[in-house]
Amino acid sequence: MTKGGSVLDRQPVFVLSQVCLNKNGRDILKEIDWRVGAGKVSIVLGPTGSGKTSLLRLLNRLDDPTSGDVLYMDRPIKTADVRDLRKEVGMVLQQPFLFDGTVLDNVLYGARLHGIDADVDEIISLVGIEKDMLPQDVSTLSVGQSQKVSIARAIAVKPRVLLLDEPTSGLDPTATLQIEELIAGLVDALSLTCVFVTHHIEQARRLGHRGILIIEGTCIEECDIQDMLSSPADERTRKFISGELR
Amino acid sequence: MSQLIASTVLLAIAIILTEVRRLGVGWDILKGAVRSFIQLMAVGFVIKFIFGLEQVQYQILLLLVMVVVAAYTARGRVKSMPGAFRISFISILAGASATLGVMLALDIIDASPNYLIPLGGMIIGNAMNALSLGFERIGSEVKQRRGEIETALCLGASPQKAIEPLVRRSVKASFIPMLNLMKIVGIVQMPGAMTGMLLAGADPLDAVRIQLVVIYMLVASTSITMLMGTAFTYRSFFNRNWQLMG
Repeated sequence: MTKGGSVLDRQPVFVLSQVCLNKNGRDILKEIDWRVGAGKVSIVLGPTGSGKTSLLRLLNRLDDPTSGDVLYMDRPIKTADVRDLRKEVGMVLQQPFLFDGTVLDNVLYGARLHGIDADVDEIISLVGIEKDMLPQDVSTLSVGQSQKVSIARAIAVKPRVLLLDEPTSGLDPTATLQIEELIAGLVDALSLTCVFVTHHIEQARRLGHRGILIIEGTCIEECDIQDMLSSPADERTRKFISGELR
Repeated sequence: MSQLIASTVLLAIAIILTEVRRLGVGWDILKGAVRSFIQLMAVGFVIKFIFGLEQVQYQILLLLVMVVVAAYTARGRVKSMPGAFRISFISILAGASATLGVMLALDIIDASPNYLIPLGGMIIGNAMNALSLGFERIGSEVKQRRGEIETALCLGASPQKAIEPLVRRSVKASFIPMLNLMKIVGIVQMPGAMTGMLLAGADPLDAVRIQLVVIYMLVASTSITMLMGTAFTYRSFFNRNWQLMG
């Protein structure tokens, strides 16, 4: 897989400046500065409960920051129409929630909402769903298949950015690798910008180009992920890599 | 009066027998009997007073008080839901006034306190129960199914669309008591209005006719209340940025 160091040369998709998030009196994110370059996979890395998901949720406005600015395509994200933003910035949650009905109903859920004429054959071939699965009721799917359907559903909307919140959690190693390959393939095939949340160092190494390490809501490092993992600049990064912080 | 005395003698015998057998419930039965006497006598005087209020504005005022109390009670089930009292009040008022209005307009009932107050009370009470059940169910569904709702939001669904399946399930649940009543009415359970009329010596077919009117009216008012209630309820779970709150 190619490793990019030139992502920031392109126009950043997201720019976060001094972003803080406080929920119920608790500081979840503290003064985060981060630039997400266009194309490729940006990794949000950190131990469980460090604020990774909370950070991701700010990028399609499932939440808004308590203070600080989030820019999307050079414009304050708050000025974007929420519906349009979520069409452009798709998100796949950690647990693949599928709606009652068939695989086809689910794949086309978002596309129908936005009146998009989605090419189902192309989508399922990209994601690796067999055509004979389309009329199948989603209650019969495995977790891995469900995650593929939820990814297919997200890309059917033709997003510019895909946010993935630990999409391989709960999957066995083989299914994990399949999903990773699928995501890398989608990024190339659809020229997607992907933000991938994980707490697995090896997964970050396999998938990512640039990355941000979050510990207890604070950005510890934000750089090329290979550099971060091979020569950590901060003691806390070293501790996280060595497994002392999990 | 002789009937009351005769039933009191029977009650006294029952108390004496339970005391002789040392069942330990004699004192409780006596307390319950005195309490029932006081409560029912008080209610009797109140109803007598109300039935004496010939002017329709007093009846409307009394019905409004009932709606306020019912809305306050229904709101008690979902104290955390913003605007629950307002939603309950409007919904119950709409259900009750539409149903009573149609019945008055079609001359099914007279605008006299003998009809308006007991029927109004029945309508408001049933609407309140259905709304309470619906509120409780929708509140717990939203709590349990945050992932499902946020998945829909991520795909660009409006809050109304995202919460639609949950609302449907909640409305269905709130109709269960009414649907059960219609299944067993006349077979397992003799409903109140019909029993009262039969005891008062009315023709059984007349009693059935009135009972049918009452049941259909209750179903109609409950439906209107639930439709209104759920139409407003979904908004209280979201903010204007299409974010699920809480």
